[in-house]
This record gives sequence, structure tokens and C-alpha cells, in this order.
Amino acid sequence: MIMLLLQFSIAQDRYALETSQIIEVLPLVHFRPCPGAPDYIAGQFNYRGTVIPAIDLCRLMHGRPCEAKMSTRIIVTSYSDTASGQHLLGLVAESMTDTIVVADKDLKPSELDLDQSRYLGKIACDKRGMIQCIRVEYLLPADVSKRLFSAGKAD
Amino acid sequence: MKDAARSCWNTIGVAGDRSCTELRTYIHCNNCPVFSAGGRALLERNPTAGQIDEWTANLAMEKSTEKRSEKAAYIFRVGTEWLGIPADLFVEIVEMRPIRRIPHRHNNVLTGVMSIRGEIHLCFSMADLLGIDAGVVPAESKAVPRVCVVRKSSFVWGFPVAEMLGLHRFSESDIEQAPMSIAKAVPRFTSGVLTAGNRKIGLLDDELLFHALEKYIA
Repeated sequence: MIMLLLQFSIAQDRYALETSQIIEVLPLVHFRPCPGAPDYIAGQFNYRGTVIPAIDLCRLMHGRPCEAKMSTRIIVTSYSDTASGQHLLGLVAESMTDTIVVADKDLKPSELDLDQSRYLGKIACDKRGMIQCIRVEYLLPADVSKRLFSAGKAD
Repeated sequence: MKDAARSCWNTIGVAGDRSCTELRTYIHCNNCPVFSAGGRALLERNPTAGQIDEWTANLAMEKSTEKRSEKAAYIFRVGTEWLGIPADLFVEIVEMRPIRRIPHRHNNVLTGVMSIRGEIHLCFSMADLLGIDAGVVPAESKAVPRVCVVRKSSFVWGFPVAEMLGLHRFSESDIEQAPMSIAKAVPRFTSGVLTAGNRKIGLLDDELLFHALEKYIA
């Protein structure tokens, strides 16, 4: 089966997200900071009338925030929290300018299984090197996820 | 120097002296990965002042759902009635030509056969099928009569019209209920009414229309 992936960069490394998981790709916006949240939570923004949180993937994986460039964009995806169900979540990453087509048999499982980076999924290789898929469902640790998404339920 | 290397398409490519050896492979710079990488590199700029503000403001608004025109109909006039037939049934529009009556099978609706590019096709009168008075012509009309050629389930039919307006695109939501003012037989065959400019157009339901026609060739 052929899969279409949206490619982006975090530092110099290429990562990808399967396009079926993407709701929309947005240009960079101003985020409203979330004091007290982990530093990789870029903040919240108004997505067509709904306030949704965004994760800075550069910060999460590489320790520095995404640069404000034209190619830095936000992926709107659906994140399922174990307790409260589906939520919209923004993912900010750099160099989001291309899609790639990969056959799913060419995606090799990553042998590493680290608790800290369970969100890193299978790896594909092409002429330009390796590209690794992101697993949205493991991006947030349970406690962060709970704090981000339980507020709406408490109200 | 650095700039020249970055925009090789202006120096050795198609906008330059065409001396690039890669042109043999790619024919045109547009197909070359260096050129597309150059285009992508434009996105590595910083956004201009105010751009992020603008995007933030734009995204805060509800998405405007644009009206999409996913359907199309050919619009023509019979008598004083403007009618439309789904465009996918259309084969062509040709000039008026003689209609030869079929001996013993002639009636008002099935008017005969006509030659279209050397093929003999059945011809019917839309006016008589719908019960429209074809003799009435609007005063402002300086129209040329045409023959519409349509194909429905392997049958090709021709029918003369007084005037063609052309192709009209519309979406499902543009279709209104047929008002009573449309000639009395027409509503039987229309699925709704469209507005094109200041004209009200009866959109014909092809299933009903051709089902009615089949009676005449049975």
C-alpha cells in the first residue's frame, strides 16, 4: 500500500506524519503562552473559533524552539486522550514544504524503544537519507495530556 | 558569485545560455531538482512584519465555506421557456438541418430522423413533449435555431431548440422548487428551477424525460 507523508524537519533531521492523520496545515501564528506547562507546549491559539494547544516539536526533540520562518507551519491533527477522548492538537515544525510517497513495506520499524521517545515510529530511507514517522498518540505524557485536555471537562 | 550559483537557471539554464549539461536530462529547468529546491528555499525566509499577525487573525475566523459549482447544465430556449439539461448527456450542438419523417411512425413528439455527421439519429420535439407552444418567440430574440444532440443510455437523440444560451454551472443548493408559473406540463419533467442572470431556467430531469420518450419508440 502506498502512503503519502508530510515531511518536515527538526534541527537537521527529517520526520514525517502520515497525511491521513492531518486535518489541516496552517501557517505560523502567535501563540498565547501557557505558564506552568512544559516548555515544549508552544501555547494555545484560536483555530477557527476553537482554542487548541500546540506542541513545538523542535523544542520537544531538540531543545530549541522552531524558528519563525515561512516554512515553519502548524499541523492540525486529532489527538486522542485516554481519559477525555478526541481533541484537536497543533504540531509546530520547520521546513514543512514537501510531501513524500512511501510504500508501507519500505517503512522499517525502529529498533529502539525508549520510554522518553515512544512517539518516534517507523523509518523510511530514500536518496536524501532517513525519514522517521511521528506517532501522534504518544507525543504527550499522560500527565501533560490530562492537564491540557481535562480543563474543558471540568467546566 | 554565490548568487549566480544559486540561480543557475538564469546563467546556464533556459533563461541563460543553456550550457548546463543537466538540460540534456531535464529538457527544461522547470523539471530540474535544483530549480525546485531553489523555489522551496524561498520559504526559508522570515515572514515579513505583520504577516504572523495577519495569519493569526485570519485563522481565528470561521472558515468561509465557498459555494462550489459541482454541476453543469446546457441552457436552451424552447418557445418562451428556458430549460436546462445536465451537461454530461450532451454530445454536441449542431446547426439546424432537415428532419426526415419516419413513415407510419410519425407523431408530434417523435418527429423523425436526422443525419448528424453521417449517422442517422432519432429526433424529437422538446416543445411537443413538454407541451410548450414553440411558435411564441420573445420580442427581443435574434436567436439562431440549433439542434441539441444528447446521449442517454446508448440512445442518441436530436432535438431542435430556438436558441442556445450555453453551459451554466451551479451547485445542488442553487436548485429551487419549481414555481407554478412555469408552463403546466413542464413541472412534470423538471427537478427544479435555476436562476441564470435574470432568467428562470427549468432544470429538466433526464430520467423522467427520456423515460417518457421511450414510450414513443416502443
